[in-house]
Amino acid sequence: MTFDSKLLSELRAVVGAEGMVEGRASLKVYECDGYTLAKAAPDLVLLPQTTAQASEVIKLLAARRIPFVPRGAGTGVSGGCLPGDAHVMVGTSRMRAIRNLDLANRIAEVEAGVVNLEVTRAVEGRGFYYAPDPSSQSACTIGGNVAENSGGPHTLKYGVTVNHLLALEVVLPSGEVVWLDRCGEAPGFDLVGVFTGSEGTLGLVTAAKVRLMKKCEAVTTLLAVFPGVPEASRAVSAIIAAGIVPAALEMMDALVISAVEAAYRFGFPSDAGAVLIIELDGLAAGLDALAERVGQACIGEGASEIRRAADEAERALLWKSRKRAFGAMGRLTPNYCTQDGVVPRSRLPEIVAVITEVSARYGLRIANLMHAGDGNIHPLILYDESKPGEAERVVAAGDEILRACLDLGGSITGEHGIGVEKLGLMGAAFGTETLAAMADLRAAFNPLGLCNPNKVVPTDRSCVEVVRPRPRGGG
Amino acid sequence: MSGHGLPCVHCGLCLDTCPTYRLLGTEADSPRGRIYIMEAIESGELELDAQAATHLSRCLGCLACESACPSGVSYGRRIDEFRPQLAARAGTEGILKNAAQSLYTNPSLVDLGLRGAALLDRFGLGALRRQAPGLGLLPSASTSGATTDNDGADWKVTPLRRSRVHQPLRARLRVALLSGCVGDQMMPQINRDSVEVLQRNGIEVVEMPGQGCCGALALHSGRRDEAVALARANLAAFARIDDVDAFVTSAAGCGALVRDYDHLLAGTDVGEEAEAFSALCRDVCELLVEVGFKTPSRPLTSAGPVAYHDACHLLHARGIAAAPRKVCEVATGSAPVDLGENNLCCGSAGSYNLDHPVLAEQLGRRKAVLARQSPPTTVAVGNVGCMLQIARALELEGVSAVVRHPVQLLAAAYRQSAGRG
Repeated sequence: MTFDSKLLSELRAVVGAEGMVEGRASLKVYECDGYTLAKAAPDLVLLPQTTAQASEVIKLLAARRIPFVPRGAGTGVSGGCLPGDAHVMVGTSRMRAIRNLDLANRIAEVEAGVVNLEVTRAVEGRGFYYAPDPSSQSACTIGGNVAENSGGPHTLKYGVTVNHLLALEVVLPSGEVVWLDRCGEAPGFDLVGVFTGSEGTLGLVTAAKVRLMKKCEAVTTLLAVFPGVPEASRAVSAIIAAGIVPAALEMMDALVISAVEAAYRFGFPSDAGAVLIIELDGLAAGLDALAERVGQACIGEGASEIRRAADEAERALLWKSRKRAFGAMGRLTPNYCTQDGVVPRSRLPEIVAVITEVSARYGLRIANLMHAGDGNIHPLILYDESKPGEAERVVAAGDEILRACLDLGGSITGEHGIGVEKLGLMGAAFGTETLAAMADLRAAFNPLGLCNPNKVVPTDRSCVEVVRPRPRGGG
Repeated sequence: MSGHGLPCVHCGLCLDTCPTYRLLGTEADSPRGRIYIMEAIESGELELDAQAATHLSRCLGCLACESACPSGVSYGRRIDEFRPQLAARAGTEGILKNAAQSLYTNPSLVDLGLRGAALLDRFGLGALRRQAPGLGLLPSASTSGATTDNDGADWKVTPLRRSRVHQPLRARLRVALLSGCVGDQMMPQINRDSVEVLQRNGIEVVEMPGQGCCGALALHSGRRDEAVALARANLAAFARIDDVDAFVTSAAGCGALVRDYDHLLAGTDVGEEAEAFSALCRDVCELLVEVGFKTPSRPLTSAGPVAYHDACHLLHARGIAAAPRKVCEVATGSAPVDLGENNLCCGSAGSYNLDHPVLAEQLGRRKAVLARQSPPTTVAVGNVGCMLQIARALELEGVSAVVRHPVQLLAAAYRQSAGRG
């Protein structure tokens, strides 16, 4: 798409030359995010530095009915910021101010481009932290977290992004700037809740007031080693059924363990079929007894060994191994697709059996990483995009697993969102009326469909097949 | 993909560790973006045009992305393989840059520059000189890393061997010092103090005639052949000396490349020698911690609060974080604090100051701004290039801290304990 020179000069006047990304070499990397099965480069990327600039450029685009796609750090894994039908991208990478730290009220007001971990870094010296901790937290942005309602290992006890938001500053697709506020339990509709997880289809988040948490007095992290995924899955239910809510309860299978071991040499047992990482926090008194009970529950389900992180350094390395497991897959395979589904946690053993069967039938290796406590599974399907037909098989295998999640009473996404990846499954997950209601809600914010068109909710306009994942020719 | 090590899976975890992405916010100026561009050029999808070259050449080579990369992508080697093409494109600008680099690696010309700088400083033009990208980096008397016991006046080029401590009578180890080129010219105290510290710890330091520049500046500027020639010359020099237990360097940049000689010279007739040599190379702090070193009887409290900054080629290229901090702690009696944003490059990055003065200065000033927040008396960093860069930034921002190599703090503590302070 080419733009008229008047528009370009108007946009440049707002964001400056350094906020305008044009030209093939500069734009190429924006053709996908962490979801690499579908690619399409934008023709223009705008990087405003302030909310006012963001509002101005979106007004200029809206006046010409030009759709745009918001982008944070491009770490999403469902293609939420794939340009698709929009040719312009509005990124928040230059909006990185921490506007205010209000420790007395435990609120941080940060711009959308602030990296998740930076919020914690800004306040950890005073004993606070920002709880949602997606695996990509060292790179992903708060704006992106709001768009995806990101979770992370510690959501089991502490909840996801929406549970930690107090107010949002957003630029609507018209260019109007509004604050959606739920501070002080404001009456009326919870528009923060509506906006969070809308994957950029309602507008561009430019800033957020987030809740800061006080660090717990004590924390301890256990590693339980199991012969296989089924035993580990049963142990998850046993722990929860014993009335214990760990801060985090994570599972990695043998394939994931081999990748992270290659990357970080933590010292996982090489013969482990699966491990659970179990984090307990709270008051120091009683934590040891709780750890003992968790250990017994694991042993009761067949754990061969229970280890406990000896110090903060060991604990940090254990979490690094877990949180960077996605990226570490590069050590096993040229390409992989991260799937994201949910089942009731008691049905983990059943979905694991499905995954094993699908893997064998499609001839694709599938590694399992799970926020097991939430029943949130992340099957990682390994493939090589240079092999003809393999990418299509990956998509089909992923679909089968997700449909099985629905059959077991679960969901097609736990935290990665629908993006373009799962658009085709929305019809299986929701009835026509529900989808129509979602479309109406979107239209209330985004009546002309200018902001992130053809994502999340399938519409008549979007031909689902067009945006279904397709391999890049030749690799 | 083959031949380049493990593939990039586009996860994006490298983005925020990249100094140019942090400054510019453009993804083509991130490691993921650069890998994308390199792959597209290799596949013929993109040409190495001016735009592509700009994004690639902005890379500092700090390797923070390699520390962050869970997939183990060998980004640094990969972009170094691309640099000859970038250099070939650079034309006149490249010739000027090479000339400037030659000045920096030529002892007598650096000496001339230092004298010129001192002259300007003496006539009160120091502040003005500091603003200039090329000349600005040359140390002034007050920041040249002068040892704490002689009030900073002695910054002139002093030959390495004129060390004031004798070789140990019965050495427990025998090492050779890689003296480097431009670093030894600009801040000779670092090598001198390294020798002193080693000797005071019962380590014999032997002469090594014929050694020269390690080749890092050439390699990272795309002059691979020149780098290989320099590496070969150094290997030949090292071959002429008798058995040593280790080759020691005080400069992180050189230390990273000499450790990589095995890769640089792999498959050549000297591949095996290079491998044996690389395995013996150590950073001076790394060696001290490895073999153990004495605690001075009186800690160097005069260094005041010490803020440590990680040199990229220690932290990211070598994974060395604890050893220099330990040296600072033993020298001063208390653990140093972090300067802040310790995984982010200060902008020194070899000759980056010459190629991208604006970005380099922005990164440098960031360090000075952090230093101002909890003013340390001393900023410790284990690489001469970073020391020069941070010293200049502190001066530009009007922050009064001095910059020292950790081994300088230890040497000063030893001298003070020996009653010479």
